[in-house]
Amino acid sequence: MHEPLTCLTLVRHYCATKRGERTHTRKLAYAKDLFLGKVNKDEVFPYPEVSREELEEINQFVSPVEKFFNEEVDSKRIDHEAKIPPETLNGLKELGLFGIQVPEEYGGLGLSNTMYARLGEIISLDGSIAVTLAAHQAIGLKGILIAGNEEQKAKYLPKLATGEYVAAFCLTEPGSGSDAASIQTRATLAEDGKHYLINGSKIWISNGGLADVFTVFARTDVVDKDGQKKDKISAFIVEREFGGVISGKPEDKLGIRGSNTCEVVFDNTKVPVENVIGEVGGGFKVAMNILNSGRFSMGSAGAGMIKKLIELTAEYAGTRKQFNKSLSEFGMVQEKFAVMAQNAFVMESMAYLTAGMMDRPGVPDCSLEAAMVKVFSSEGGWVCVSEALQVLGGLGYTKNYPYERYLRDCRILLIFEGTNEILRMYIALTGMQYAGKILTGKIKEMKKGNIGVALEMFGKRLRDSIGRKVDLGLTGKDGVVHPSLMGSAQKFEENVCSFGSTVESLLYRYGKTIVDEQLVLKRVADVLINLYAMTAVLSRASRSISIGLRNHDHEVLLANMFCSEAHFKNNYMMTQLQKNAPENNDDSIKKIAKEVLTQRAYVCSHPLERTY
Amino acid sequence: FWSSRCLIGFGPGRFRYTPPTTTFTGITVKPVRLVLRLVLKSLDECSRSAEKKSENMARVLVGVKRVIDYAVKIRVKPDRTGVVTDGVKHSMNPFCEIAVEEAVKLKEKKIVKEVVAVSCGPQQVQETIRTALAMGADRGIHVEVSGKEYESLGPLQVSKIMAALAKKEEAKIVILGKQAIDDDCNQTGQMTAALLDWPQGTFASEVTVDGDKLKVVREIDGGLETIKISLPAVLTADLRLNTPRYATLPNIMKAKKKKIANVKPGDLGVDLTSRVEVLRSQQGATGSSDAREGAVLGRWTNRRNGPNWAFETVAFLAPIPMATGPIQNHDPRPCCV
Repeated sequence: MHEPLTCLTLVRHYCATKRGERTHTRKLAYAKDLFLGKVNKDEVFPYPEVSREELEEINQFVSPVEKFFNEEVDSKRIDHEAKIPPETLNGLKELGLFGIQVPEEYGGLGLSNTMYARLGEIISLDGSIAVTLAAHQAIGLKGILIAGNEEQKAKYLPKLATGEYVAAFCLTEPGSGSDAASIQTRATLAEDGKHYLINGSKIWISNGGLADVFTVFARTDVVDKDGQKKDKISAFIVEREFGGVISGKPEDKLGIRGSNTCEVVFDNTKVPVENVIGEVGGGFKVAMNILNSGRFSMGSAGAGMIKKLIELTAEYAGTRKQFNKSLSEFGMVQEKFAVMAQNAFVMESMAYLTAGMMDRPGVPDCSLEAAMVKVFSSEGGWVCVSEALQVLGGLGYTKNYPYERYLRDCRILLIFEGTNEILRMYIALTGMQYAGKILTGKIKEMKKGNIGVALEMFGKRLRDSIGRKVDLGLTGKDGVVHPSLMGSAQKFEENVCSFGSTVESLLYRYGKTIVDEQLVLKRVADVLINLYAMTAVLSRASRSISIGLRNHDHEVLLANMFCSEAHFKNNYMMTQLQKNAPENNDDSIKKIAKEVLTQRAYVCSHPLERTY
Repeated sequence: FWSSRCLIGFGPGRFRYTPPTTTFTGITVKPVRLVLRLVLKSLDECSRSAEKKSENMARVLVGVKRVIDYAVKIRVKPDRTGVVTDGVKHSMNPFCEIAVEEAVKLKEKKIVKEVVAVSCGPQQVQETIRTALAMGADRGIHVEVSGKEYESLGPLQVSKIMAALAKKEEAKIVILGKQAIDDDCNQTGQMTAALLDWPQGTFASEVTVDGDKLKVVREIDGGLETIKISLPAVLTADLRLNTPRYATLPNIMKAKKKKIANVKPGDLGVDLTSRVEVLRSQQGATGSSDAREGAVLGRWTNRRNGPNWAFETVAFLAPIPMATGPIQNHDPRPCCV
């Protein structure tokens, strides 16, 4: 099935020589290099740790928040009334949960990404509150935090941190959802040059009805260096007090019903020029940075929710009896719990690995990893909640139990903060672009007559066909992975190698048109997500064994099970990606879809039809 | 005598003692001086006693205990020597939270100047002291007890420690929770008062300061009893005394700067030998696999659900299994063991 693998030492050597050419900044080095079949061990091994003081501090923080959520938050009522009661909101503000990442000098808690992820595990117990808080701080005020100047920070952050002002993020418009670059809201400079007038409407704005401070993205006329007039997006801090800000009525949603989502219309809203975030015309980048920096917390939020579900469901499975046996003795029920435990384990590992990488000095760009965490966690969470509901059967389907609410709240995770489809495209294309650059570099070298490179490539092909065992340095004498995980580490290394060659062959086959091959890119993204997940579990399990955490053998079990499943799935997907693979049904899929969409209906004749 | 305390009510500026002269009415100043002296003396005594009062009310000692969290399902250790505590979630005893809240409230009303939180145990109890600091205590004292001594630590030893600390810190009030939810002893407060020979207001559901005495409303079986006790005194907090505040995250961060002193029981001259030996711990007899294990456990029900705040003692006991026959339906009835 899959090609016998090898030779990464050659590719590694090659990349090492090439590295001198590009400036080695701490940019996104881990996941991108997987596209070349290369594993940057130092980025992900050992698993990131926090200092003892930080750990004690975070444990101290966790107790009152948990207590508050267990005692003061009535999720059923919030869901039923589609509103978060003011007392609950005030309690959250007093607890300090509105300014978790705002620096202490502005009145916030100044916590790191890892701590934010840890608190997110508890906040996710109630979906509406989690989304309200996330919309306020993970995206609403993030713009000011990461791209604002000192005056803007001093003016707005203190009130936002205490919750006196609530923030919202306004990017999506009726005509521009996934295609964020096509927004039509305009900001025209007034004659006196001191104000911008914003006109336009935004939809699906979380906290739109209660926010006082909005981060709004609008098109502005920009004159660039060549003197040409361009239409670029800029980011603005808009206060409701500026006037002309109209919030529509709250949307009636399937889930997260307590979170306020509405349309926000800007009608000649006067915004002072000092309120532009970053540069005029640099808004799109600001938007992408904001969205990329908040995504990773979905992993820990999902894990927190699944852990809670496991507790509730296991309680039921242990007590409910059918056929004279408790449910927990039946294989299919046991499988569901194994799936839930595995998903929670992987989500946690990925989330905290990403958070740990983001907390490293030098502010590395982990947007690729964060996107992968989001995709895996949203889909994993959806599957697990569904399975948990299934264990309870009819009871799970009723409103007397929280499962149906968790299911409804969970569905939005696949949609907002970048739909999973868009994120898969982003993951695949970013990596392909990087690999493509390296590859074209190689080819250029060859054309220049660099024999060394040509020989390398020839040698690589030869070794590929002979078939040599892969060794990326994860196992063995200086291996970073613990010996009990050796099998899984070897599977991972094999996958990485074949992934590298698969990517190369795809680039040769399609070239630039790969951008349109979504079904191909989808598989590439899925393989990469699995690879990153395998890295995370191997790293975490190795650390657990090395330091002797409680129940580390359970972790080894989960890690090995996940890796063997992921290895198999990856191989299958990579087989489908090979040229003219019979396992690949993409052409049929496209044909069927075309016929259905042309007719805009199901095409087949009814089975009972006759022709005579 | 003519200190700044006498600024009250004597017109602008300080009162100055002027040498005796004859007033224009002919009355000699001597009796006037005498009267003035008496008046000033009484005023002085008043303010001095007020200061004494605030000095008397200076310090409150609050004892906090780290126990297994109320929501956790207790499991007995396989060797039956006790209950599994390793890796189990612990938190501050709920009655101790109420005690800390009361102490902090007294401080906010300016009746006391300082609240000191005390806990006895190994390194981990520092988390509990930190929670008390985050709720408003000013400083903490960690009495280091670990290992075998910690396992056999009971109300007698803790009350000796509290008595010694109360004397050392010159505390005027000692507030404890009425009992701990892990052992349900309900003895430490009473023993501490006895060792100090101080009056005690136990099962307090309301405490008010009345001059230099405390008026305590106690919850007793027959209803409510109000007593007046003089200071210094020991109080134990009952459920309805107050509703403890949440330790907000900003307060937890501020509490990091507050000090926790480490003290050894030997430094206080306390002997920790226990007169009690635990022979065996066991769970209720389990029959069917769905029986819930559990020793007798005081269960702290969700206090914020409605007006029926109740403290339940619930034991989970499964029916004793029969040698043969069908498995019966499990019926957990609450009963006292």
